[in-house]
Amino acid sequence: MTRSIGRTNAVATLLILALAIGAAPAPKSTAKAATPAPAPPPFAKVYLALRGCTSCDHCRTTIRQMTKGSAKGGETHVNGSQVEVLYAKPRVVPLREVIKSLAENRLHDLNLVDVLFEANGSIAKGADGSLRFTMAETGQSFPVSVAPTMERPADGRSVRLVAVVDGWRGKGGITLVAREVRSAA
Amino acid sequence: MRPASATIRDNAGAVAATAILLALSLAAPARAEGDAPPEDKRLEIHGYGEIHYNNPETGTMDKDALARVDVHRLVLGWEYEFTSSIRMSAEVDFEHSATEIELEYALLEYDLTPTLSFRVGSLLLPVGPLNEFHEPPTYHSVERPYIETYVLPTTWQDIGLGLVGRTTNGALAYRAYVVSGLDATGFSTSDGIRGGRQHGVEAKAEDLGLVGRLEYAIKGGFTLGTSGYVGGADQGTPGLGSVDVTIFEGDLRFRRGAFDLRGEWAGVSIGNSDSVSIAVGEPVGSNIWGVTWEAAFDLINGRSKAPGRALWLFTRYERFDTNGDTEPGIARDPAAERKVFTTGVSYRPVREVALKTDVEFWKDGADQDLTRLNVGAAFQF
Repeated sequence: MTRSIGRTNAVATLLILALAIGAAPAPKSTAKAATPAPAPPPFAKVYLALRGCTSCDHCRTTIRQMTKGSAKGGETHVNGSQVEVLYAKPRVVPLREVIKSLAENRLHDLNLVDVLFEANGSIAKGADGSLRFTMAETGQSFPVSVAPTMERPADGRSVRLVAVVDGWRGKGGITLVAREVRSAA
Repeated sequence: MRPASATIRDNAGAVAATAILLALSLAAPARAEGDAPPEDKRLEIHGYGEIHYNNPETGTMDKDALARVDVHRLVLGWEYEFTSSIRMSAEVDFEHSATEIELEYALLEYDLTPTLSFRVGSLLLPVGPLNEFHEPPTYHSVERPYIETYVLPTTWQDIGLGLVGRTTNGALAYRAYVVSGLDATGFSTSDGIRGGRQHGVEAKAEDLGLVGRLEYAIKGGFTLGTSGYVGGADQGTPGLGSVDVTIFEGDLRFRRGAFDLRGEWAGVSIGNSDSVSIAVGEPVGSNIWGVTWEAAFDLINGRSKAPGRALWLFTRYERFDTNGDTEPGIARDPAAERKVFTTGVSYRPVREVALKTDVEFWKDGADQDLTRLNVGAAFQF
């Protein structure tokens, strides 16, 4: 009898706590998502393409946790063999660390195959004459290469850059290879 | 009057679960900046399946048993993200050409920190290297390794809650859950604790279990793992007394280039197995154990333009005994000790598809032997 009562209490406690968690007020961000106005693009986005086991629940949790652990607050979504890390507001993006978390993972069947980076900022020549992409507000910058034939706003103008990230397989620095440069206005 | 120690043991899981939930109710979820994902990116669909030809059929040492062909498993699963920190995930298994439907798992996951998540629901128990990662292209044989059938009862899922986490680089991973316990009235001589799984189907929860696993991936291709389980299994069944089940398992794997080597040892001890034997009418082992090693070699080893294309030759040795020991007065069944030597080939045109064939050579402690031919096709997406 004592045993049954003890267990009933334990189960009731579990249920109440589970309900308490489930009934917690929705975060404000959820309410925002319901508004019809289109959301502005995030300040920056890292897009990582994977090859390997991404279909089972445990692999996705692994990928998510490894990425989140290095994303420093970036909103991480795992969808199939793609991982997106979004930074809604201006901030320093730990691009190298995010890439490293997946590129140097120790799982036997998971490979990072490509990385895209997208952000607001400006492109200008540095003192050594090479192009650099400087992110808006944060001042964080990366070397960037832009094909001479690519149409783009003048140096120093606000742009939205979409670029392939190059050099992450080696130990040297990373470079952005522009795929699209458009006015950020 | 039930002994105090038994009462504590029976309620230990509930107490642990309560403590975890209390901590969770005080903790805010690990919110990232930004909103929930766009609607078209919230839902992810996945699945796997396998078709088998077995000659003779599995689960017998009868050489005259018939050959069988079977769509053994067709599993469909999905994951839905409510926010970047809260999601649900589930799989439904349509077994044997959809004549048996089983909930593989169904859980809610809630990120407490970037590398630590809370789970509640029907969970795959982190016991052994296969139970959570059992998609058929991930192992070379047509059938799952038998140690993962007769000693560790894959697929083993039960309702519970717990934590899953890892270090940022994924090198050290850990899981710890409180789950509903086994039901000892399903234990048997030849299948060990396998019949005691409750699959979360209106499961008896008088006894709970604690289960955990640690995995460490070493640079160079080595992975070490260990799992443990402890829980009651009498579920308050009258006349059964107090039945405890303890499982310990260790495994290692080396994968590099064309080589894939693995080994595993698992042991199960069942307390009060004599009363279980009397209740079920056959000898149930007080000790169940198994050991296996496997070596595989990929003949293609990246020399193909198709990513993931491989041609694995493998050989595996397994020895296990579901009546390793019995309580005094309970006669041990020598046929419960089995040795299986399996050798075969698995061709993967892409990493998600496997075409397999192998031959198993069985011998048991009663001097029966059997040779079985298996052919299979498997996929995952």
